[in-house]
Amino acid sequence: MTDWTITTLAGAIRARRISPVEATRELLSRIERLDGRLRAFIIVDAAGALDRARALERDGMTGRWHGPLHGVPLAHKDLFRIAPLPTSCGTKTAEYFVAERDATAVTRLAEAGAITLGKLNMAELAMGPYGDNAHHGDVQNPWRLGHVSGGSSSGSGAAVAAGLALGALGTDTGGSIRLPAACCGIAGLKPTYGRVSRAGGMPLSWSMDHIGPMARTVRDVALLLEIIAGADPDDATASPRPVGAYLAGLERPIRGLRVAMADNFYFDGVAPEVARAVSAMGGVLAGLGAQVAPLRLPDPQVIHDVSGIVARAESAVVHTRILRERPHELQPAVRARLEVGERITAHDYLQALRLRARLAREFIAEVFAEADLVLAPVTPTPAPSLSEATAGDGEAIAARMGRFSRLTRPWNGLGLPVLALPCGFSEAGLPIGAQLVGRPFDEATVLAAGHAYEQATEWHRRRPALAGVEGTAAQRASE
Amino acid sequence: MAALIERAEADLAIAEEPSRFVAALEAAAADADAGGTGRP
Repeated sequence: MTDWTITTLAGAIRARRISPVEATRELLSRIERLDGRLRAFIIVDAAGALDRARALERDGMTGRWHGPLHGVPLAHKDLFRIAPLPTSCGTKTAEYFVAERDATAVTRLAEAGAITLGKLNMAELAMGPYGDNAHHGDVQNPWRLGHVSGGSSSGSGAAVAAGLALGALGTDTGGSIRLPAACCGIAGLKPTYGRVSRAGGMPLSWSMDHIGPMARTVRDVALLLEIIAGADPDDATASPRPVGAYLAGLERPIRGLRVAMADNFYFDGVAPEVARAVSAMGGVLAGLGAQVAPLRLPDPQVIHDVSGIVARAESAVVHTRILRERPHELQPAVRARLEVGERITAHDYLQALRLRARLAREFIAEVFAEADLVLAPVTPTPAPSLSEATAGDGEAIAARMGRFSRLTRPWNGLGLPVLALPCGFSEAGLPIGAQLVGRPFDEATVLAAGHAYEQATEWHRRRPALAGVEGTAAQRASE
Repeated sequence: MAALIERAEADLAIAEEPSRFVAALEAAAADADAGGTGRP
């Protein structure tokens, strides 16, 4: 059970070795036992999940298979509209975000046979890289209680790592898929801007937002991406470019692939154990035949700052009502970040947006003439303790948040596909993650390289011991 | 931030909104498909 992946469970269901109802009951039981302390879920929809599992079970018995996810239980960040469940977006308001239709990505997963177990905890308004949440509980790192899970898709990272769901959707505006993937030791993909429809998901910054899959293995991530990617009449930015055969392409050899180790910015001030793990990953890729060499990138600080201006300005516009009418409901750091956005002038916002386009074109032309992939760390340190991450006033926390997400944010501005995957563990036993970055819409190469690395290493097979995590929500509340 | 804004102000050739940005990324992918380096 604890070693299931989406691929193995889907295969077992298809072979009738386990039924969708049995799998769903098993995961609901696990959530009941473990999530009182992990706080990965905001809503557990046990009745809805079991109803759906029974329907899929009946269909499976008559040979009516819905798709490659038939009977596989997933859960999703609580900023996607999934009727009839409310959408809090991590705020105090149960139904903060309302949309006309369910999120396209979630609908596509359901059409492929997936079951939704519930909605996952997240940083308030998706504005934080740690996963602390004053309203729904701080998401705990399954590898070590009291440490951050990474955010903002914090529940997605923790639930998948702890085996409470086999996969999850997250969103990534400045690193919010990759940071929890790295902190929790799982794989997560921020696709190319425009690859996955964002319809039905809460916008934070429409120029920087991406929806993407999180799972235990790169194979599972590829499977989910293949299902959710593609054009959508409900999202004009969803590209009509054909969706790649990501699963079929996983086994292609990476011999000769040019992998650039980021030579500037991405290793500055990074903890030595993180730098060592990512460098060692370069060595493994070289051992598989890739040509790994350092490469100086166009100054990432510039696109980092541009991305920050755009994201701050847009998020302040989207969430202006709650900021003006109910600011006391917001966590101090979230409020501080939104207030920064309110002070950005229209002139500066538009200039930053224009510059973003120029920088992306320059980066793509320069870097991908020399390399097929870029390799860099996800976080400057392994997951810090929650107390360390949330110490001080709102501005101090917001500044610390910015430092923790500084290695992920530039790629949102550039719009490039980035896979985060585990590449080692710290001395304290916390996961370390790496980013593999590819050309626009070349998720296939990113995933193939990540899969080849996974097959050559064991990091993705490790599971958190979850010592001391047992305890139901009711027990926890009575403590 | 002032330096960034000055740099953008000096560049008259760019206009930007999300669907144009996607179009640029698609153009880069098409170039790579055609054997190029991925130049937008």
